[in-house]
Amino acid sequence: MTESDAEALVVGLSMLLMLALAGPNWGQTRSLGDGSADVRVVAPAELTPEGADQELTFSPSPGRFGAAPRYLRTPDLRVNVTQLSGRPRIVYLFVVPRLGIEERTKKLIDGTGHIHLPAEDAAFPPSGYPYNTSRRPDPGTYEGRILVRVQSFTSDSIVVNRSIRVEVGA
Amino acid sequence: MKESATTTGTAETTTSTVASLRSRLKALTVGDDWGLVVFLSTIVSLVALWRIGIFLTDNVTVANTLINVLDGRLAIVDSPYGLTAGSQPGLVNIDGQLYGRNYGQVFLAVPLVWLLDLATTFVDLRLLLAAGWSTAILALTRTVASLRQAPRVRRLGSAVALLAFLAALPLATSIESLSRTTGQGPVTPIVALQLVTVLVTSVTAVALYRLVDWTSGRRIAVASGLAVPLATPLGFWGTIPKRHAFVAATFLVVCYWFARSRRGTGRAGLRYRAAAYGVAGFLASVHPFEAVFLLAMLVGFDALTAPSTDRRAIGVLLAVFLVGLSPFVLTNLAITGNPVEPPNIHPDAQHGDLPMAGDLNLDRPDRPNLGREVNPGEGSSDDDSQPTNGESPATGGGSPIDALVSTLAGAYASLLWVGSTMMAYVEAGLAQFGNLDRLVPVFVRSGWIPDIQSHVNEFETIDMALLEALPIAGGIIALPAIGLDRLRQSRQWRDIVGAVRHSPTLQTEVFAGSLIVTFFVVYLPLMPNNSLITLRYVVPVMPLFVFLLARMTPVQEALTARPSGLAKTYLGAAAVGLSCSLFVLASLDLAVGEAVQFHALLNLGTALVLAAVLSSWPVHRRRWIVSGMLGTTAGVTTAFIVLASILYFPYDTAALDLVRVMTEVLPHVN
Repeated sequence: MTESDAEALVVGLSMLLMLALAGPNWGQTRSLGDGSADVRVVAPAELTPEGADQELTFSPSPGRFGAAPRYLRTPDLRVNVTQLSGRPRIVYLFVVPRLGIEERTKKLIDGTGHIHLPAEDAAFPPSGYPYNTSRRPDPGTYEGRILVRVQSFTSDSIVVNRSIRVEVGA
Repeated sequence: MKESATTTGTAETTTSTVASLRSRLKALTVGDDWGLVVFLSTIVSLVALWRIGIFLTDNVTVANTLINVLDGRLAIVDSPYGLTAGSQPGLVNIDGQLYGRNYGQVFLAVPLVWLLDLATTFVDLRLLLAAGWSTAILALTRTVASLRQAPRVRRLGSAVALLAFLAALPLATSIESLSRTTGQGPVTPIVALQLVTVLVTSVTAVALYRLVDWTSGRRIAVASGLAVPLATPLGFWGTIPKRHAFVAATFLVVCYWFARSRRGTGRAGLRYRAAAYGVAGFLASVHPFEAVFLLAMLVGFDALTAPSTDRRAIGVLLAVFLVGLSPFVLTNLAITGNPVEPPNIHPDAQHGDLPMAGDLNLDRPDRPNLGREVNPGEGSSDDDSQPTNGESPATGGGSPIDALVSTLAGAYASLLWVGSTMMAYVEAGLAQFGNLDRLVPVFVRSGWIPDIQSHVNEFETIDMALLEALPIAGGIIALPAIGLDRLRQSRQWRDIVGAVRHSPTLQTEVFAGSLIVTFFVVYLPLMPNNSLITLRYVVPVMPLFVFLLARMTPVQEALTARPSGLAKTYLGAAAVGLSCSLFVLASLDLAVGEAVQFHALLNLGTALVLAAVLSSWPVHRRRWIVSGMLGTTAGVTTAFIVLASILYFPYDTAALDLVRVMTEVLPHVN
């Protein structure tokens, strides 16, 4: 048996052995459970307790590199989890009903520390888009809401509940 | 003494029999050790980028088809998979029974589901996949090390393989808890469908390797084979169980066997010819529409260029073809009663998704899973107009002769309808030439495409043009210039036809080129469109672009030189491309559409430079410029393929936990 065969055999047999020892249910299950957590918003600043009286206004900005004309840049959420029991999750909701925007990001809380919840930006078609759409780019001011909650099977607490305004220019 | 001598003799005979069997198997499948390298490299790269879940909505239909076939029936009774209730494009309702699609693909996945189910009673699926990946890395590095006489490569590879598996142990997370799109369905059928697609794409890469090896030489063949997962969109579609990967494999395998059979007199040539017809027949059970065009082209070119065709040969070809066609015929007989009428063109069918003759509206392709919450209420495609082929098969009653006659009549009528539909598609396609509104977004520059239903993908501009998705295709722009140069040098102006008649290689080039042109013509009325991403309708002919590129003189001269510099420029360009893209993504906070368009612009620029470099070959004739540009183009494409697979379209979960964890620390796309 050559050296290369021996090497391959060693690696192969080790993997086989570990597979057998690990058994069929080795993978951790990451799913929602009971419990709750203490969550503080770190960013964006307007959503922290200190920024509670700051206005939240958004305007679409042009798409880049030839992409769709305008994007509403939903802010990424950064939170700090201080106390944790069980396995709850954070739900970050950015909603503007009359524009058909509902961006929801969920993340399981695995441990204390910082958690980053990105939210997808919402794209507006140029005016004159012929097909049926609920995302209207008509100029005006639209009301919306940002909600951050900590949920589990046994609890549901609201961390942030702020109304927002979206100003769509001509 | 005598006994031990005999025993030793027997042992030696056994060892040499096993060894000769192994080498024969290797020669039959991958060709040689470098073919094995191409095969394993494709597997390693595809599995690394693999996401387990459902990307396009019609994968749901295929998955549900598989579940029901596993239960022993063709009709769809159980539908455990689903992104949203009722959204299963391609489901067909005949006489109150629902039927699925892509049955050939489904049949191929069945044995794999059994194997996976058996394995997962003993081992964890996540760890099994990690172990499989590590084994592929191990085999790959061993083969490369023995080819290059580099034991250090082998030792490094063994270490990497083992470490990758060890790292997977603490990170392993159950797939069910991470996957949203499998709904209530089990995971192993999805994994099986995707794994079959991976293997099929690896076959595509090997077929291209063997084709280019046979026509142009070893080094350029290895580069071509590796280009399939690394520099063509098959690197992205290679894990997504749509027809595209299967059609691509069939096209490449048919081209290779076509090439080998042109010269072959005798049994070898006939075997290759017959095999080509066999797989073309099998393709009908995966996607009859595309199979029928392949068959038409194959029959035409075969008749024109075959070395010898006697009655016996035709008999063999027909027999093998019918064997390959049998899954198609048998499922059709069972579902519609007409052997050549698949469910989705049956007159009583509803929710067909293939556009019908006479109503070539914009096709409604399936929605991709952008890794976001999906809005409910997006229905499946409209009812398209139905074919009027008159005859419907008799159901029951009458003598067996009556049933046979009416089945044959129905089959004949269907074949006529198929022929006229093909003509309609070709005519509609040819009518598009000159329509810049369509040609520019398809071939050159996408950006915001006004006429497509962008709301399906939330207005994200994710549909690329050909040069943006496959920058290597820019090299084809140089074909006229290079062709003229070649003709001028060889002074063969008058004897072009003669040259083609006597050169199997040229015949294969013309065959491959015709496949490309036919595919584009047929699909042009349906492009641009939403949810094509990398112009996926024509993905099956993209490896053929690589083949034609490999036949060009500057590419051959550049890549057969030692050293060609291709590997170094490729790795450098891929590294720079990846880091630049990640940097731009992070600093500009790009949305999906913007990120895709960033790559589109980068790829387009690279494609045009490649076209310029190759077109000017008669002027500069510098090999290092050509190989450098080829490497750069491929590297830039790899950057897009990698990021598209793991970042831009992050549906469900990565197959490998290592990749999953790594993605969590990378900048995300908005």
